[in-house]
Amino acid sequence: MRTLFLYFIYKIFWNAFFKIIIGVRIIGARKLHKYDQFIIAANHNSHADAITLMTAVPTNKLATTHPIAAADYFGKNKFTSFISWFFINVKLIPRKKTSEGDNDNPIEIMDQLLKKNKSIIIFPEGSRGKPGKLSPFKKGVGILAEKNRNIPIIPVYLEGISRVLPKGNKIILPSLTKIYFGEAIHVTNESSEEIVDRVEKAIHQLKDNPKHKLIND
Amino acid sequence: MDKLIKSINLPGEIQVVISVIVGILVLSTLLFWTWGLFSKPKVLTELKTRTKSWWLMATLFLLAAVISPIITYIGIGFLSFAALREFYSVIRLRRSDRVGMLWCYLAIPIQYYLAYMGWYGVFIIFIPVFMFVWIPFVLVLSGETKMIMTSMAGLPTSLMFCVFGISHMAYLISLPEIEGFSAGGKGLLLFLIFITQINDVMQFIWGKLFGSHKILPKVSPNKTWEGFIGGLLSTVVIGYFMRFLTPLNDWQVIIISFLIAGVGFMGDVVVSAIKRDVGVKDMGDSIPGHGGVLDRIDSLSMTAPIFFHLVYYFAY
Repeated sequence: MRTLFLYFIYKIFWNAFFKIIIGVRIIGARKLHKYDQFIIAANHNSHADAITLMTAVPTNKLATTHPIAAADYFGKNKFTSFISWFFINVKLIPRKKTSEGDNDNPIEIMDQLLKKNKSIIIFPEGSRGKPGKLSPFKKGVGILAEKNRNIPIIPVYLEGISRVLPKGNKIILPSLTKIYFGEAIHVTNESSEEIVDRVEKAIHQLKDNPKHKLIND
Repeated sequence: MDKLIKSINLPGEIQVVISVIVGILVLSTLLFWTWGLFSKPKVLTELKTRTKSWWLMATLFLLAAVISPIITYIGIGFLSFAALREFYSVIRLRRSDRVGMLWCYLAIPIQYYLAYMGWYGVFIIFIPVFMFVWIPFVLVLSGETKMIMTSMAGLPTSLMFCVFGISHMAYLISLPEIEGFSAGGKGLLLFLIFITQINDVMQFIWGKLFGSHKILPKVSPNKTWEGFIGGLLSTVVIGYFMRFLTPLNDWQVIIISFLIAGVGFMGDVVVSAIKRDVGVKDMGDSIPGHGGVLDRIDSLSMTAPIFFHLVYYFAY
């Protein structure tokens, strides 16, 4: 039921909106079909990021794929947190670990999702950075992958999306955007720092590929 | 199938043009295919991708032009939208220009609705007068005056290139019928697009074969005098033979074809200069081998209004 609902939302409504009106092109997303579970790690420039990435997720995995968002921003009240779960399938996490208990630990929450065979979409930059520039990655993605070595990490670079809905702006405008899905990273026995490094390098590679340079950010 | 063709009921002239277009495409596809059997130069790969895209564009356009006038209006309107979107994806604008950009997008349905209604008086001033006042005013409302003149000039100009010029193509099918001229607005539209595009192709061919003297080396290094003049002459000859699509006499067709070739070149280099300024090779990559939508319709944005007003003057 949930899959059907999300199918209508993403594959029909958002897909048509982003592809025809906004001008989003998704490149290399077919490889998601190969994996039962994945961690999508992408750069973060805009609130539209999570939704556009979700349109690329295969239909049968929509209900089990959660974009991760900060609770202090989207969960300001019950209504916004309900909306972001109901329509976007977002999982809200606190941005910083509060002192007591394991329940609030953001890494712990994501780890539990992965243990329940769910997939997640994370933005290792932490928050929305400057368009066309990648901020240094946070450690989280490495710690998660270290604990779940069987799950592949898919590096993704979103190009030009900051022109669709920039930080601190409320107007959504059409603008050509490309989403590059890179080759999956299979973690073997690296440490968490090495994993973060690999993911960061992979996204930088997608960004700096001269073939990909068409839009001015 | 026969029933479908009969129900669309095309005038004979338009059937001839469609056969000519399909004929040219079949011929060039066969030519490049046979060429590929003997040698494989780099230019051939480009020519093949270009031809493939021409097939797609011709099919889409002919379907849109033939099925129903409403589809034609919507199709040309979407062309304007795609071009404007490409334009805004590459040029540098300020954050505070976003409200102005939104208004520019909203101007597209209004302009095409005016063309559909056939309200000529408003259609012809909506962008060059009304939007030229409204957009700067909206920009002023944001309160950010630094570099505002660039935006005040750039946003209305983007509308002129992508919407105003192109929307004249839509107005062609709103023109009243002339007695004894059966091809009608559809015929005029086909003539305009065919001649503008064949002019681009002819300039490309003549330039590749004989081009050596560059016209504007800094702006558009592929444009040569040989290509331009060869293209101009071929376009006039082709236009003369396609005159059955228009209600014009021989001299009028020659003048119009000549002007389409010259003005098409102007549109081409103006958009090229903008591309050089922002530092991109093409406006987009949605049409393989050609670049973006705006790269393909840049000449049309200038030829459409010239053609429209000359036909209006000569025949109405």
